[in-house]
Amino acid sequence: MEEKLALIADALDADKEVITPEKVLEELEEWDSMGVIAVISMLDKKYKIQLKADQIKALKTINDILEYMQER
Amino acid sequence: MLFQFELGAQSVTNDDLAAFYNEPKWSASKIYCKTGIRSRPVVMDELVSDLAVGAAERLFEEYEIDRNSVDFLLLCTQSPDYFLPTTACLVQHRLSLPKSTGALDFNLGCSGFVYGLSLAQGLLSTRAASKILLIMSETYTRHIHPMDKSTRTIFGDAAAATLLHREDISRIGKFVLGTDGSGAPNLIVPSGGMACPRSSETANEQTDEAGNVRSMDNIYMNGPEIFSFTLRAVPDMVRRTLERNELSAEEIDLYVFHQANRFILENLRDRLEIPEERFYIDVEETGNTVSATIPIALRNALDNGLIREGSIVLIAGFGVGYSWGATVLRL
Repeated sequence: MEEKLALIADALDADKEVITPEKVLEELEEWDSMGVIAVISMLDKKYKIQLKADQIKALKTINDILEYMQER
Repeated sequence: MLFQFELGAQSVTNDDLAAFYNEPKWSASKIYCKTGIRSRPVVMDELVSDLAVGAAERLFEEYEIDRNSVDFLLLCTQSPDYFLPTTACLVQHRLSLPKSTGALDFNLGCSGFVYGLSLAQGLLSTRAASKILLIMSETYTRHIHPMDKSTRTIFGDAAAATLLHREDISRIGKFVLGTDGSGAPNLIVPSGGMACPRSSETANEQTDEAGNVRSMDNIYMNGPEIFSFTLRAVPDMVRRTLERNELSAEEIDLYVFHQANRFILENLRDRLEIPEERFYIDVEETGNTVSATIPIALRNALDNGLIREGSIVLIAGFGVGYSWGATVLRL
């Protein structure tokens, strides 16, 4: 879990303390289009998954991102 | 195959944009970090026909081409001078090409050059044409709102002219093409066409959550979704292109993709595990010039000695539509 949160924090270029599972993405300054792209890139590289438009839109919390971080 | 290009006459640098936006998040160095771009050529009053004529004249002059030998003009643009008549007809006239020349516009963006080559290969093969002037000419900045950082930092204006003749039929390989119109809303100028004519309402400016301003008369681009689409479509297209052309990844001397921005190119390169020295990335002084990026990149790569006669190059275009296409060139 720690590792996954660290990956997200890294992608967003955000402080690790701020990235908790319940954190609402809209409240993060780093959750702009570049941040979204960085997370899409991380999910593609590490978890081989490419999100579709409706899935991207549905991301509301860090937990939503964690859902996609499953080993395949 | 001969290549030449003309860039928009003005230049907008990261310093210009940083001064204009005046926000710490959008300093000149941050813009460079996000995009890999330092400056972009832009037009002021020039039209797509002006850039097209400019690129073609440069080509004719550099290679001492007899313009009377051209018998077909293909023009790719999404910013035509008029809805009608065809901009290629205007360019035929201004270039004093013979009246026996065929001419047509086709409307594509980032995939335009690959599709243009597929059309040219067909016309040459059937002998409908023997010498084709294939021009990509685009002025996206005319659609962009100055306060829309998501697009203004990325796009540039340019035209590229390519000359093809019958010997080039065998230099162009087999194509892999694709289309997904469900992606249309993600890169679009909503108004100005028949679906939604311009009005005082379409000119109403809105500010989005990121603070970008645009109206329906301006380009809207959903960066994250397009990024995701690119990762879904392009690696698979590249593999199928190699298969169809019976080549292994290692036999390609240089991969020249549509130069969208440095971040997506690096992601694609890493995904496809292509060594850096065989993957072309250069958006620094041009930004994303849409359909012109691939021929401009080919010309620059030739000038820099990265490729030469006999080199095998895989080109891939992808973007607005969604539309995508790839092939292999033996220069």
